[in-house]
Amino acid sequence: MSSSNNPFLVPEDFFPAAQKSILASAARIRRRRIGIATSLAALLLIAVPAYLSLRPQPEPDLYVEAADLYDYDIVLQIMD
Amino acid sequence: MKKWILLLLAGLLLLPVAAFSQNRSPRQPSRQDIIRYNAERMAGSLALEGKTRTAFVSLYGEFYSEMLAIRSQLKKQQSADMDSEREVEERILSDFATSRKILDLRESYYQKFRALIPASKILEMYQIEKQHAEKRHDSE
Repeated sequence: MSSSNNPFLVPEDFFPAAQKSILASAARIRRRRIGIATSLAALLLIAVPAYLSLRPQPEPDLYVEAADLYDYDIVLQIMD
Repeated sequence: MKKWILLLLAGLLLLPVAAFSQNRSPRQPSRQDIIRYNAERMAGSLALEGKTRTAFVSLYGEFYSEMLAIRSQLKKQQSADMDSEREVEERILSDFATSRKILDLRESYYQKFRALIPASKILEMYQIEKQHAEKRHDSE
């Protein structure tokens, strides 16, 4: 009795074909994972420096230094 | 093919890093940059425009450079010991001298500022400086 006539018998070419299909599917999943991981890494590498360079910087303040002179600065002391 | 994609990706990754490293230089402004920035800010607060603004920014920068030179001398005086009677007297006399230097500087620059802006603007400038100084002084 051949396998084509018996629905309970596995075709002879089933295992190599299934194995091929499973391997191809696993390779596809692996490629997709690598793609996602690379994209995320690239996004982080672009986003982090961009964020650091674009975030507001504290204003340089001359008066921090000049505040030391305030006690000695008669003109400022008498100002209202 | 895979090698080319990796190379392209590496190139793309290096671009923002290079741009970021170029952006880092303004993060550490020089003394002159800070003086200019503050002079520009003061000119803005006084609503100065055009040639007056340009001349004021230059003059104010010059004035503040001299103020900061006095400050660096003051720092040296303040770090000196005051253990003996002689050292205390030296400190008091040097404090008088510092006050006098600042007053002389303000008086000489008053004439220069007066050639550019009216006295009322100079008064406003002093008031702004006082506000900044008090704010910084109190926060120390």
